[in-house]
Amino acid sequence: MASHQELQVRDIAKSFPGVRALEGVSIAFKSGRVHGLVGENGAGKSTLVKIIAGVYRRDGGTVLIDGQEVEIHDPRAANEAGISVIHQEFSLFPELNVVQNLFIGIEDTQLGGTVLNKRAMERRAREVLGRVGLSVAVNLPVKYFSVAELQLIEIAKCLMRDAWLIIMDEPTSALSESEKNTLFRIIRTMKEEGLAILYISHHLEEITEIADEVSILRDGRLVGTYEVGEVSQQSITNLMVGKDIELVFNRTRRPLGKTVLEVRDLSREGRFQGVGFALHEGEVLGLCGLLGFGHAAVCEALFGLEPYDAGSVALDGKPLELSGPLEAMKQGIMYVPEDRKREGLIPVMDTEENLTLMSLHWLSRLGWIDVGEQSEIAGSLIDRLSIKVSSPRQTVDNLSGGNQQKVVIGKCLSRPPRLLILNDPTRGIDVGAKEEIYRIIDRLAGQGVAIIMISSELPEYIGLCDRLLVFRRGRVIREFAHPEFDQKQILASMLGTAEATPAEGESQ
Amino acid sequence: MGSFRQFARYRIKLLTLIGIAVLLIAVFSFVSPFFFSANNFVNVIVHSSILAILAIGMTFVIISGGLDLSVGSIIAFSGVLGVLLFRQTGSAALGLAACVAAGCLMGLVNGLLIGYMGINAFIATIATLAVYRGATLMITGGRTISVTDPSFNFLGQAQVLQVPVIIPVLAGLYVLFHFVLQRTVFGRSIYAIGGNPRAARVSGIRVRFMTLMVYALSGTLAGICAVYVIGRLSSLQPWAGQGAEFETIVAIVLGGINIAGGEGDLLESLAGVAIIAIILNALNLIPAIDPFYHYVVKGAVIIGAIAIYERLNKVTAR
Repeated sequence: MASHQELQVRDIAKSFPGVRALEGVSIAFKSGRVHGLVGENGAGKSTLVKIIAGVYRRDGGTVLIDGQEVEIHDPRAANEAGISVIHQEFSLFPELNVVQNLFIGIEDTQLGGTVLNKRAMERRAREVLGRVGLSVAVNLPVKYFSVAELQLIEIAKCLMRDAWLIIMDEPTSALSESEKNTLFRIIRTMKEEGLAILYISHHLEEITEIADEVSILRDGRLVGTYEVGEVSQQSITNLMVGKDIELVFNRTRRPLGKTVLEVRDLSREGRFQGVGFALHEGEVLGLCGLLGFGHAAVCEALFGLEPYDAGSVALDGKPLELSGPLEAMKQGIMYVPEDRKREGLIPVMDTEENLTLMSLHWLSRLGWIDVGEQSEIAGSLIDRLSIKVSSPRQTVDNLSGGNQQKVVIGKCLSRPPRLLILNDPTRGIDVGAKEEIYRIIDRLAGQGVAIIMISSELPEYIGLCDRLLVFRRGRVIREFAHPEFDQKQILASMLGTAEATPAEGESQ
Repeated sequence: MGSFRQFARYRIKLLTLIGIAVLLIAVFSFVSPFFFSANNFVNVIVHSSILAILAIGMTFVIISGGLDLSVGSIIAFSGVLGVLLFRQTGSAALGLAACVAAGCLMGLVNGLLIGYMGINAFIATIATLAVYRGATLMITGGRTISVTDPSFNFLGQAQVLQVPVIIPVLAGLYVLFHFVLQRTVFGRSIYAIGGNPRAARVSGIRVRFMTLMVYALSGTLAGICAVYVIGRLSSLQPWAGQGAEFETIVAIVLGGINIAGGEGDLLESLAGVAIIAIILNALNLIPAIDPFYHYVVKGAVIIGAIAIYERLNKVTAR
């Protein structure tokens, strides 16, 4: 079925000003195989993919298809060579329907290219969608589809273009467990049909589940390519990092201080219901639940980003009116948003300006910014969080993911916070940066800051939190306290598979 | 490395612009004997001062990620209101204040539509462009109103030490607003809003209020232009300021400011204004060129500038 057998890269090198992104990388991607590609952020995964896909020009090395040297100058040439990339951000047009999207640029026409052959295209579309196990209304604009469906449409689009090498970049980042299983089933089918899949992911358990072999990049070099059966997840991690480490949480447990935050019966129609808890000085409280179960909405409400219909919030005994972020900030409440690119950073601004964005109100007099104080604050944050920048004037767009995340956290520390809300503070950053952030959290708790935390990884809750509230469909259904964390039980109550035993017997 | 890249990204643009200006001056001096003289340079500035003032407001608006197409109409409408009040009361001071206040008010209307009602800036200001111009025509009946009072016409006609008073005023405005943009919470907020409005909100910036203020500023500056326009011609034409928004946007794009927002500063705008002014002046001095060509030249300048900046961005980015 597949038109080619193998794509091989040999001795690939690529440099950017000041950075050696890839050096001497040689890997072969074979048809009928799923090839996992892993590495920390900045290890060179996306650079390699962009070279294969014709987005970047390589500085050295060769690319061969079935032993023939090829030149892939641009994405179009990659397409013609049968290489398709499915990015995290989809390339579909939301207003166009499924057929139009699938056939974009390769429309089937009749009457000398003047009239679209709609019926034939629809038939073809259904056929290809059938191959990826999707039966949907093909005349519906794709904006009405779920992320999982869009993903399958993207795959169908690749198949439509006779791709034999499909590159998937973090394909499961927005998928639920069952959607992920569907995706994996499709990947296996494509593999059997003789396609080559290059699968990039941070989630090693996915790699070991779906991939046949895995290549590990570290600092722009290939550590090695291994059969998946031969290496454990632990050894992959070690090879990625280059040293034998396990995630270390380093949380020092201390006696809790007085009550900082009291939330009573907080409700918002359709989002959360009767949420109540107290939070103490130096306490790290985890809020967990599946996507859309209300824990994230509670965090946003506490920072004044979203309104609430009923209930009360008191900080240090004083009732709060949370009318907006600035008002929350004036009370000492700070918030690290979930998505640093979308909500955390102003990409065109430099590091110093980003770091001080949340303290403008305090470092200005009559609206004029004290520039000296601004550099002082930024400088001390860069030191305290060891943010790696060439200068405080470096634009944040050029920083690595981990350093960008530190900037977002740093923004919230430009003045000592009373309550710090962290919405998935380690998302999409490498192991080293994660541990640094764990240390920062522990240090802040030690200074008496009250912390609310959301994470996408269960071990983080267990390693960092003093208490954990499990949300299900907008309600707190269970509470766990530090020494009694049990990963299985937490997961079970999140998924609703366990008998929910209400915390402290205060259920109604 | 990063700071060098930044320097390349921001300042090479400005240096290129200054280089182009010098080159143009050299070429035009060679082509026309009237071009290179103190008199003509004063002339260039005086003729482009409306453009220069509007460019300040438009720079703020564009950095905030918006657009203000109504400035030309605001000049006419605020001018009419100011003149009417002056005729009613006989007080030049009151009339002048009314011009500026009316401009501010019209800007506030734009800001309310865009910031608080969430209407797209292009749509909102193209609508108010029509409304303000229409109101002007209704009130004046399409006729020019003459104003002969010397104190009302001070800004447009007075000279200090043989220099038109508008020149030091312009210089003052540019210095003031350069620092407002670079050193105030307002200025910083505008960059943040244009760079990433969502992140700006999550960072506690009052996005709606700041948006309102940006358009109020743009309107206020258009009101100041009205004062100047009336003074220079001793009258107000109902079509005054027509097309001014177009010219201003041309100048700013030429200055290399990203129309998508979040980037740029007043120095770049000023450089863009200067180049446009020099080109238009030279075209007027060269009798062989029909004035009807001027529009074509302006359009060509936009396209040429964008083509160059795309190139520069590719070279300096990554």
